[in-house]
Amino acid sequence: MEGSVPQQHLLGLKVMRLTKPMLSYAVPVLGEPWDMLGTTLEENLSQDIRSPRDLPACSTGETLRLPMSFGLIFLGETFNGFISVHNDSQDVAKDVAVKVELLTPSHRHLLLSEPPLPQLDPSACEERIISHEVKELGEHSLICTASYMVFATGEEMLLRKFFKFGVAKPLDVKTKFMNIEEDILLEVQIQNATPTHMFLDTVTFDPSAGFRAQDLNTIRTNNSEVSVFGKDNLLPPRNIRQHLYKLTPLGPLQTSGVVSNVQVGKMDIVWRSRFGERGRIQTGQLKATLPPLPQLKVTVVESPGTVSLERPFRITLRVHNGSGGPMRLRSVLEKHPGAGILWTGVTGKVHNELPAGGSMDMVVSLLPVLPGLQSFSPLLFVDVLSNQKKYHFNKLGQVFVEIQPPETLSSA
Amino acid sequence: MHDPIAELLAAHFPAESRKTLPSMESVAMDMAGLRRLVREGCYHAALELTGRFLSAHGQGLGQAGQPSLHTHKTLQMWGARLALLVVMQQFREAEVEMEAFGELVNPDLFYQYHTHNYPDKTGSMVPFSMRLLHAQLPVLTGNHQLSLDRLCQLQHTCHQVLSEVRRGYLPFVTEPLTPEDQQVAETLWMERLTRVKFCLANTLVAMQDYLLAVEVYEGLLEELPGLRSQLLSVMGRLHLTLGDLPSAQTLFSLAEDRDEKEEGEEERMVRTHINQGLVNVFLCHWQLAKDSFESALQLEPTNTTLKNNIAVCTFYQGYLKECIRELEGVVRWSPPSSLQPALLTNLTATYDLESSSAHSKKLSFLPLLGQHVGEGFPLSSLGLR
Repeated sequence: MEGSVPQQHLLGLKVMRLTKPMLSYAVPVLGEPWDMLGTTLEENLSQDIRSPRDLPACSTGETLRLPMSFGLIFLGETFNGFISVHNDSQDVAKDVAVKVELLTPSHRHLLLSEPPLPQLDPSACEERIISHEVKELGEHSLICTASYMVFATGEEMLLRKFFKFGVAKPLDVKTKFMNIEEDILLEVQIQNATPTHMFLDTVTFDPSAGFRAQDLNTIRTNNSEVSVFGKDNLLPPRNIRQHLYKLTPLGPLQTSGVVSNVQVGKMDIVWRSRFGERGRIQTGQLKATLPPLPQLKVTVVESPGTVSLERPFRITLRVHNGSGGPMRLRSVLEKHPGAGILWTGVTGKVHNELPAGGSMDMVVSLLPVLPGLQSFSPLLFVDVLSNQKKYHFNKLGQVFVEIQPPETLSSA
Repeated sequence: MHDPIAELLAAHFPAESRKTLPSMESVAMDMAGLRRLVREGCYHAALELTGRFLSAHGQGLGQAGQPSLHTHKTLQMWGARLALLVVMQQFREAEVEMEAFGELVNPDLFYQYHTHNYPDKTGSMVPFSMRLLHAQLPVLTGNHQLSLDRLCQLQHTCHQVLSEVRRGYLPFVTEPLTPEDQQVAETLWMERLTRVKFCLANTLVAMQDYLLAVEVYEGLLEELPGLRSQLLSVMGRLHLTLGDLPSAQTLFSLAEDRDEKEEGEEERMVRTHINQGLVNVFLCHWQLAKDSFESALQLEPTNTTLKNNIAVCTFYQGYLKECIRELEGVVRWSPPSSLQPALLTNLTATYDLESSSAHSKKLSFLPLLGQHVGEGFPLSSLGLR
């Protein structure tokens, strides 16, 4: 990225993008003592600082190289540039004022504007570093202007240079929502859209005010937490990672109807690439659709996982009144034809009044009559306060029913 | 005699003298002559010598497809010629010339094919270093996969030979090895295996598959306990290139661990400072990086890598003129050892930024090069257009 100087100008103006320096590399050519060349090439290479010391067979050196090309730039990275204004003529330039602006698809940013230099002598050079965090995609133009006066003639001059570059997308972020009762599972798919590796410094979900987020991307083993992505956070080019979060609404967000476009929060991703080049993007507010909240919710809060055939067991149910008003419930233990687990106990019992938003626990006993993975029999609640409104619960849960081993039978 | 530096010097600085260099004519057309040319950096002359030698044996340029007989010596010369082409970065030419040898398995490349010349010898006449070059070459012209295939094949062959040697035999030889020969053969083939692994790592780095490259280096750690700290530092640098600072720091701190090997304390300190400097470069802490490199320079005042790295940090701090002054100082400091292509590449990049008369500033190094370096010096590092 450089410009040529028109004849009439005293000054020249150049720009170099300051990407991170690179490490030197060598092409090792290895010989053996009895070869025609012996190890002469290797000896020559060991004098070359492009090759790492003591390791002439290795190509990755420790000498820093200045960047030679503009390279690619991605959204969220920082554009750093080195601007130099130099006097190529034999005349003195007076009142040299340099201004650098960046024209993005929607904005004009002023990156450099300083009071004019009183004087720039022949073959003198002034340099500045400019920096701008890239927040837009698409074509960017760097507009560099140097205004000055030719000392000899008093003529006012204006030197202007344009440098264009495109900003590409570093990551493809796709989201998927799944509702589990009032909670939401959020799956965020992150794909590296750059041609280099990305080291993901942090990937976080910032929930909006109405939600609490739980990071589900670690596995707890023996008091330590391990990332599900393994030991390093590297994302090679084109590779994809799925991050999972559980979002819980903090208050009564939901009503009886479907609520769409609820802002749940945003993703914040910070990465490092090429020798520490840093980037950060935040997604816009992610929007989820929430299903209506059930007016009456029944969940199993305590249940064995495995039970023995024909041995009664107990489970605890939690009944939550999600409706606006109080409820007085009558529980009806139903029998499903072919059901593997039957209710035992009193059916038709009327419970104490349950206030709006209140919960109660009830313990019920069951009898497994068929072996294998079996579902609980259906349960029916009737609200005697609101015109005998019925609430059916057909999928309360399952347990595994074992056939008792013979020796246990004989001992019993 | 082809000498690009002399040609440019004559064109731009006719009054300046060129260092007296040996030429193809002034050395013997044998191994000693060839090695002398290479030591003096006269790669063009050395290449010419190999060409002349091979033509004298009915091979070489324009003779492909013609009937000719390989000998142990012609193949050695081919190996040298191809190595020179690669060192001079003439990868395409090297590839074309290597093509004539196919996969290095043609019958006429074996001693058995030439029973009249080698009545008692069996096995391949292709030098091992030429095999290695044969495997390295495709990646230099962009064919990564072919290089990987050939290197893995070569690695497999090394393992096979090693297992034979450990049984007490050499391939193609029916008589068992004496215990001394067995020891020598095992050491040799272990070294060859190590070289293949280095080439494999280099190829993976060229493919930007740094993680696999690091794995190869991990394997080398066990084979080269004396180079543990150097290898760990290379691995750390590769992680920095990837953007992975935590892994790099872990490896660098392992590299700092004092080992019981013969390495001197000072050398270890220098490496620690360099690694710390590179971490600071990664973090854009330019002044801290400079401080690290300066600390290393106190221990090794003649280290040009350190001076170069300090100048690069100066540049990133925004001091162009200061950086140019530093780099010019290093280049002119103690030629010929300070006439490093890496330094010149950085210096000429800063010239391009500093003025519109960069070309003449670049040319101004010609007299110095003319006095001190051979004709094989990579002029491309001057960035002349």
